[in-house]
Amino acid sequence: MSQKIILPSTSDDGIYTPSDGYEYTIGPKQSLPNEANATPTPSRIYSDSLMHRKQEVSLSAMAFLFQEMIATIHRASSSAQDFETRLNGYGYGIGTRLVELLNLRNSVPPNYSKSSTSNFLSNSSSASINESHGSSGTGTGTISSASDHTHYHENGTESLAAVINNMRPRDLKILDILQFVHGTMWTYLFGHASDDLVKSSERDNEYMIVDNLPMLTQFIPAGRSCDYFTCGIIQGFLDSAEFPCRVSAHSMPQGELDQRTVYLIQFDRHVLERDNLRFGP
Amino acid sequence: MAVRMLLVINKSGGLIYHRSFEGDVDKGLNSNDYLILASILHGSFAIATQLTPKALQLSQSSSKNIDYTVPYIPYVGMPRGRTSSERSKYGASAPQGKLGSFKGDDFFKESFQSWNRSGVRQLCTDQFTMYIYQTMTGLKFVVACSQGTLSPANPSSSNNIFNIHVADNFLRKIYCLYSDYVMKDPFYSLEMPIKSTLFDKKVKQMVDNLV
Repeated sequence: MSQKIILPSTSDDGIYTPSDGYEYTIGPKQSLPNEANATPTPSRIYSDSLMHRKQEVSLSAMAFLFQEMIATIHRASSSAQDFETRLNGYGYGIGTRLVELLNLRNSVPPNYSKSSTSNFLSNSSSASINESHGSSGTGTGTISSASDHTHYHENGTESLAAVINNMRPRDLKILDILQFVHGTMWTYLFGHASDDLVKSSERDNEYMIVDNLPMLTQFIPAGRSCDYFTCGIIQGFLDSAEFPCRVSAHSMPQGELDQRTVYLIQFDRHVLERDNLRFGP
Repeated sequence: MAVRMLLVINKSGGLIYHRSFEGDVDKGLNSNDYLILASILHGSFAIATQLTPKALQLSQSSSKNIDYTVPYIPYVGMPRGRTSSERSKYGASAPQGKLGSFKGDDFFKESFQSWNRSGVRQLCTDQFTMYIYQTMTGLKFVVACSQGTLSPANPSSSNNIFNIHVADNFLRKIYCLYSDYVMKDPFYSLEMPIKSTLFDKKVKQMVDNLV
C-alpha cells in the first residue's frame, strides 16, 4: 500500500537509449565500406535562411539557461565588478552579431514575407507546471515551427540576396541608432519595444533605455546586477556600429513597477563631436 | 476564510518557507517551533496511510480506477474582481509579465491530477482548517485558514470536497509561483529556506486576492 512518492534512481536498462557514441563495452565498431566514404550530412543551420520566421522560445527554458549562466559566472568571479564584466562579455558577442542580422532583415521588402515579426524570447510557455506533473495538462508546444517557410529554403534555391534590392544603410546618427535599439532590437529580443528612451538632462552624452519588466531577470530578486547581460548586448551592438560607449544597468523602481530597470548609455566624447560635425549641433 | 499561514515543506520534511498573514498567529511560536511543527506534519502525513481504516484500503486497492482529478476552479486567487479598465491599464504597462512565464490570465485552465493520494489532505479543528497539497516530487504546500473554505465566491460553503478542490487550486498556483520565482532564482540553493523577496510579494498578492 505504501506509495513511492519519489522515484528512486534505478539501474533500469530501459533508460539507456542506443547512441552513436563510442560503446566501450563492445569495442571499436567496424565501419562498413559504403559508410566510410559517405559524405557527412552538413548541419541544417548553415542552409537555413536568415529570413524572418516566427520563432518563439520557451521563457522557462531560457530562464533556466540564464539562471545557470549566472550561477556559473557568479561562482567563477571574485568580485561584483568581475561578475558584471564577465556577464557583459557574454552579451557583447550577441550584440555584435545583431547589427548585421537586423540590418539585413530590415532590408527585406515588407511585402516579401507574410510573417513580419520574429521573436527571440517574446513569449513563454504555459507548460512549466506540466513538466513536473507529467500526466496533467496538454503541454502546449512552445516552439512554433517554421513550416510556413521551409518550402522556400529547404534546398537553398531561394536566396535572400535575390530579394533585397537595396541594402538598408546603417544608422549614422546617435538618435537613429538608439531608436533602432529601442524599437527593432528590443522587439527582436523580447517581443516588444522598450518602454522609454530618454536623453539625460545633465550630461549630453548620456541616454537611457527604460524597461519596466526585464524579460530575462524578472525572476531574480533585486540586489544583484544580472541585467548586465542586456547591457552587454546593447554595448556590443553600439560598439560594432561605431558608436563606442559604456552601458550600465540601474534598478529604479517606480510605483507599481518595482523591477523597472534603466540602461544608462554613455557615449565616448568623440562620438558626439562626430555627430556635431556631420549633422550640425 | 482568511488565510492565516502558509508553509512550504521540502521532501525531507524541512520547513523552507513560512509566512503568517495575521499578526497574532505568531504569538508564542519561534522559528524553531515552526521547524518542529513542519516536521511533525511531515511525519504524520507519512504515517497517515497506515491510519487509514483497513476496509478503506482494501476498497481502494481493489478498485484501481479512483479518480484523483481535481477540477479547475476559475480564478482562485486571481485579481478577477478588478474592473476591465484597470486590468487593461496593467496589461499595457506590462504586456506579458503579469504571470511570469505563464501565458494567459490564469496559471492553468484545465483540471489536474492530485499527487496527494494517501496522505492527509485536510485537517479540521475548531480554530482553523488546514489543507495540504503535495507535488509529484514530494514538496508540500500547507495553508491554514480560519474557516472551512478558501473560496471567496461562496464563503459559507459546507461542501467539503469543493473546499478541498478550491484549496488544491490555490496551492497549485502557489506552486506555480514557486516554480517561477524560486526555481528560476540563480542564488537559491535547493532544499534551503526561501528568501526571495519576489516570491514573498507574489504570494502576498495572491493571498490578498482571495479576500
